[in-house]
Amino acid sequence: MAQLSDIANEIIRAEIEEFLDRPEEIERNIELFSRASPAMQDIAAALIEGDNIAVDQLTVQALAEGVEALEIMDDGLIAGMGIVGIKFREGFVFVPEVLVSARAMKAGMAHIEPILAASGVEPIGTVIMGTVQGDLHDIGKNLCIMMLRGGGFTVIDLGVNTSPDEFLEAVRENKANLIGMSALLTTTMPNMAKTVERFKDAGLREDVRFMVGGAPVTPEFGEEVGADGYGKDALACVELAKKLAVEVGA
Amino acid sequence: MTDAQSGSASGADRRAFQERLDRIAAIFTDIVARAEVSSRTRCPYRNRHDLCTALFRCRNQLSAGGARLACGHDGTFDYRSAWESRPRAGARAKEKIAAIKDEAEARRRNGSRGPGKQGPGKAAGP
Repeated sequence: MAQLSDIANEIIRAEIEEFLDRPEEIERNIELFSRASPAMQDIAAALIEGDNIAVDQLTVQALAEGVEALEIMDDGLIAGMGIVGIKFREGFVFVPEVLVSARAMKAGMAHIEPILAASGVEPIGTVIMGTVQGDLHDIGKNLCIMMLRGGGFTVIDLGVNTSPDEFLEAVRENKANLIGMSALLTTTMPNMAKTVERFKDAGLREDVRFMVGGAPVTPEFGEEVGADGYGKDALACVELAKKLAVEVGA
Repeated sequence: MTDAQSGSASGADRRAFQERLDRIAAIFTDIVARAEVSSRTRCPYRNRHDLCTALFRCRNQLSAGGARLACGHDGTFDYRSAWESRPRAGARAKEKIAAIKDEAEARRRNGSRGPGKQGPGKAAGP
């Protein structure tokens, strides 16, 4: 049976010792990391710490050295995110830290994606995501992005305070046909309607599908702004995106 | 090197990769489900050091020295109204949408293709 001391990476050892409480999870993670190579442990540790630059570099290096993509996913990226998930469940870290780790995971996955595509695992579609103009709230959108990427979509994140023209340009540039708009303020929700109207002006409304969400947004409101669907949370967002992707032939 | 890395796809690789993607999706699903629950009492912008990570103003923000802001919310009420700059504006949103749609419709009837570049852009903020 593997021991904690069999794990080379100091950060991983400390994470298991300090934050894991359930015996089966301790055992599983000691087993997993003790058989993982030091390079994979480094990727997992960097991901846990939210260091996207390190994850990016270490993933590139590992692939260049001939490490298999599956090994990087299993022993580096997924193993690290598994620890983050446990820490979040136990209240040691919160949404901001989870999102920083998710960004680090994305940095690693960016180098794995071409290999996935070569094996026949293609993205379901491309989604343009943004918080509408005048609104600086981004957590809900970022959780949706995390879920959409995890669910097999390519996501272009336009960030916050996104103008109708920025949505339009991103759709054209990326040949996307799914758009996710988020608003957290009643005062900025009408800008969702402005964006939909801008697509009508540009003659592109029929080519795309709009998803809307955000705390004050309701299904009824979604209909009023002319959206094609409303997602009450990040989980619903992925289901909706999958449905609309089929509809629009993404 | 696997078949997938060398570019020659195999069904086994595809299944293996899909299995990993499903595992990632499962981890994220669990995280998001918990985030939905925890966000009812703890602001999702509040990090583990109890600092505010929001890019916007909130009435619960307290100075934590320098440019840092601490979260002053105690978890006993719905904090989300603190994000509203004009909390009573909700009722006006529908009227505003109707006006936006009417204007756009009229503009299209008159043959104009659009209002051009709209708003102040990202740099200006709300």
